[in-house]
Amino acid sequence: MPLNQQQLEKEGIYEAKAPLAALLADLDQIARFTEIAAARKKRHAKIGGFTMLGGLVLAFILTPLGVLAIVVGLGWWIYSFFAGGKLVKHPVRVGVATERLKMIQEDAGAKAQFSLKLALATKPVKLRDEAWSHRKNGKQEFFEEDWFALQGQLLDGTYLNDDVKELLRKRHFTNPRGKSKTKTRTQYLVNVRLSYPASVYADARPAEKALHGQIKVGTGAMLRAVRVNEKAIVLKAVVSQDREIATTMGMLSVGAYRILNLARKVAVKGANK
Amino acid sequence: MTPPSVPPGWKCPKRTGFLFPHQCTRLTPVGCPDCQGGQVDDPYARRARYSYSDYDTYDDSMTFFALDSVAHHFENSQDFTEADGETLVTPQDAFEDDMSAS
Repeated sequence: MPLNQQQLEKEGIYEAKAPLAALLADLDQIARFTEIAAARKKRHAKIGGFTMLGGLVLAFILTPLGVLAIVVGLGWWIYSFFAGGKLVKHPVRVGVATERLKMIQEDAGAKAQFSLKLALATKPVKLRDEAWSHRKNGKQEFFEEDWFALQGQLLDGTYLNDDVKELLRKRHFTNPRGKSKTKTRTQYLVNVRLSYPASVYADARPAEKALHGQIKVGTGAMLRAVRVNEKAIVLKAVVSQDREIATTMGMLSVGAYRILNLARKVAVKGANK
Repeated sequence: MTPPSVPPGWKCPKRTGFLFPHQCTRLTPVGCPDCQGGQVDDPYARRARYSYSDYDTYDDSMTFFALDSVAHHFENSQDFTEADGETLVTPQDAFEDDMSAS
């Protein structure tokens, strides 16, 4: 289905329910839109810069015209920050979604419908603000932005449910020289939930205990929760670099399936007894 | 060079998959990136999975521990059969086309 570039630039949200191959084709199209928008943004910045430079030279010969060129160039340069809209704000997000979809593609049916929501840029929701006593006039604010959600059924009957949240902390304070400062820290909360069929895996809890929770994540990620019950495995990790998100989702899924694959083997042996 | 011909109705007997094993649905091994044209015996076991070098192998102690824990489950439930688990590695032909299953 052809996508509307202008709408994506304005709204910044892609949402669809389709087989993985179709979703991947859409993401490929969005990646091309992003490249075009980024090139346009760069071009506008260059035009603005050269106009300002030309105006500066012209100002020595014909001052009013030179000043006018500088003003126009400055306006053009400022406009370049907004050119490309929401498409260019987080270009890495399209890559994360593409990598995740490709990762699960061979374990999903060609016709299986998956729901994908990808926010290229939305306004983060403010969770709370509070005083920060460590610095003079200290205050901290916490924001959250849900930007990736994927749901669908894999070939073994398991429902996969992924989501990624961007967590932003802003700290405002006054430094010893009396200047106001703001420091931000971004982290990403990655959730992977696998609701497995009892007819294939029976109960995964004994397998999880037997493996002693051997879930691995990369060096840029921290495992925050592993919950296994008779119906689902839920894994949470916090990632500090956005380039680690797709790998973390992959490692969490592989870790969860190491439990499920043991559960299946145990279930088969148990049925044989 | 002409690739070796594949008999009509040929089905790949190999396991494939990234997260869990399932039957390969390709109609020919020619140009297959998983078994590399039939050269790899078990593409599922050969897959690289981050730092999980022992992904498909479990100590007997692990299996024993888990089996012991679920013994109670099987004593009290007749819902699960051997065939349920085996369908994963030898799925039915209709599995892929069954929209209700995917």
